[in-house]
Amino acid sequence: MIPLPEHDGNHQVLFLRNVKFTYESGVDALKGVTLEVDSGEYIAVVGGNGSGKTTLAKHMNGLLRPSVGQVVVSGGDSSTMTPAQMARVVGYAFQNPDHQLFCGTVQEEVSFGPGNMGLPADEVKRRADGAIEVMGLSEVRGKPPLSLPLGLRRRVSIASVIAMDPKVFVFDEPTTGLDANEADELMAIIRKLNGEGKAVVLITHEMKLVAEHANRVVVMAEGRIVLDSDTRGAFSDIELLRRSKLLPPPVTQLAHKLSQMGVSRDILTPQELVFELTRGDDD
Amino acid sequence: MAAEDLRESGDERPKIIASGDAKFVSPKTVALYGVLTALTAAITIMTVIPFPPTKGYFNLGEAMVFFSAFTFGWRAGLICGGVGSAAADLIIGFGMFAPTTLVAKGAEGLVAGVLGRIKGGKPWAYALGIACGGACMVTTYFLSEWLIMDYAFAVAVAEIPTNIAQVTIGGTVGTLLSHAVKRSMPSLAK
Amino acid sequence: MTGLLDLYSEKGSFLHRLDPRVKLLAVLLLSVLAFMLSELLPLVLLLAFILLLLALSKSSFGKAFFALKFVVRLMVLITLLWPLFDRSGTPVLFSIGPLDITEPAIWRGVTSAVRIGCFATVWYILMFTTQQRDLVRALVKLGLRFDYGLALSISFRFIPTFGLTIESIKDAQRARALELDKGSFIRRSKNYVSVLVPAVVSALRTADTLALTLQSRAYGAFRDRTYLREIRMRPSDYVALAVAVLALLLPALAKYVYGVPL
Repeated sequence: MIPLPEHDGNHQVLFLRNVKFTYESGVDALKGVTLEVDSGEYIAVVGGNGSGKTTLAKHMNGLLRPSVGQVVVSGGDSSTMTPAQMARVVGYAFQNPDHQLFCGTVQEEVSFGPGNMGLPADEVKRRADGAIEVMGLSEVRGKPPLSLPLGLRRRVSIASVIAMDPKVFVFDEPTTGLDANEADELMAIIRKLNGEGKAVVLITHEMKLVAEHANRVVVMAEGRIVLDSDTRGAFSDIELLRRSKLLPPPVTQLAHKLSQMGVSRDILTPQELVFELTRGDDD
Repeated sequence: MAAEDLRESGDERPKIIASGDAKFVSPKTVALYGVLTALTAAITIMTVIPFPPTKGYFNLGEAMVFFSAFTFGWRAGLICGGVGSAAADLIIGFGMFAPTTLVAKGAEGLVAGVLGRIKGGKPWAYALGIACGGACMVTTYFLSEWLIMDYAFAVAVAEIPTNIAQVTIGGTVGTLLSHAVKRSMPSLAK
Repeated sequence: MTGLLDLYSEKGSFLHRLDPRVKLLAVLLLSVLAFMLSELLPLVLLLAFILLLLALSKSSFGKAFFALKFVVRLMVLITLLWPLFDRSGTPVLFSIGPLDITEPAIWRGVTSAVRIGCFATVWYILMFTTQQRDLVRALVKLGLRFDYGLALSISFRFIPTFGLTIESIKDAQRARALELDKGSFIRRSKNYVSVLVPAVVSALRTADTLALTLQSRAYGAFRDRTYLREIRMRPSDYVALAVAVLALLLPALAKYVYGVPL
């Protein structure tokens, strides 16, 4: 069901080796995490509150530095790179767009990141225009971003990451507060980025998004990766998901309940279940 | 909707509501003053750049004093600037400066609010407000440290350049901030 | 940083149980006393008494150390700098270039440093042993208008929240390749605008919601509200108040009426 990226020569863009991290307060948020991200992958990082998924994400772009272990970005050790340098490779769209928007117009806002990267003015403009186009913001490009409704504010914040043209996109709970239509549109755009060969890391606890979009699932619990598999495999172990304070989408739960009737346990979408059930009738 | 709410609280004069014989500041003003005061304190604490010799810190809290004064008037400047900065002193352990800070930053906010909004806030009015408000702040700290706390004259003098730098940076950032926030929340720009 | 946002720690010392109004007044009275005393010996005694109170407050070692580090640094600085700029008195002990270092100036420096030590430490004790909301309530009880008291407690409530917001905004801008502390003075000022604008706008949005909450909870229906925990003066509070008043009154009497050199 889930198309694997067709690009040839997928290569490693991000590698976290045995990363441990302890906050000043003494909380061990990461207890030895190893994760490899290749170009073109679509990874969902899931886990309950406090499982360490946001801490993990902040290591990907240098906002946090590992207490122990190593983060390799585009083949180079990141310990000597500033977050500004890492931002060229790993783009991070924060959960709350209001924590980053500040400019007078959408155009300025989207140009901020590429401008900080020291690109020439025409290149900044080219990238900003491209990102505004992709996110469908052309009509509001002259408006102050903070005066827009939430759905558009989130798009502006994502456009401002796209304009930096990173190799990896990290999205932290991108659909929070969006209605179903807005969420679908946004997920379609993320899928399109992935289709262009960008690696996508989706941090979420909405299992429906995971089932429909990701092709790899990383389950976190108590600062460790407890499962790292393709999406179908991840959803077949319902007990492990429960222990990690996660609930699979209703259709998967139903499939598990129906497994005695011979329904496969790795159902991810309603279409698949319908197909399974009708196939069963034919037998 | 939200914009409408803010326009009311943006009035220079706090709305007084009456209930029986009791008179109160309107809930919008209470909320606005409470939040601006908290933000002033938080920014004072969070944007610390260590700077010896005396108070040991240099911060952007000043920007919030000028922002409150320029955007919401002298009362906001007085209350949020004075109380917010004094609360920051209490919280990070410079409590002995809190009374001085209350007067120094309160006066700064008051003066900046009165002068900075002349003719609806022309650039020269902002500059005048920053200069005079800043002068009040610098003088208050100097006199208090020299005469009341009985610091060595030299230590009190040594702080003057730091404080002037803080006013210059705070005034610039506060003005930019007032401008940018009014642009993002057009209802605030009257 | 956020760990420092509240100096208070929950301990069961008698200073914790004292009426916050008494504590506030005692801090002011002791500050006035430190200001009034001009001789070294009584000031050293006062500092010793204040340090004893700090010990009795059962403050954690870490917090007391944090406080004392600042106090001691300030005291050393004043002791060292004072004689450089106060050249009055004899004998001259030694000269550094054009500067004469006199013995009385050194003693005056030490005296001033001890006085600052007293000032600074009493405020620490107050903040170590008093919850912020009790401080606000003490002010309201002492005559601060209720509505301003409410604004004050709202602000104490939101300081840690906004602290976290600012941290998160800094992170978000750094993720957009912003280097906050780099570049010229103008550049840095502009850099910080990108942090402060989102902080202010989200705070003003919070204020809107808060105003609605206040209205929906009948703010303004009465002149004051009732409290779950009333603060009331107990006998021990009167004793403490009397001690604090006498601590100022007796030396003042001795100094200004009987001419005792204090």
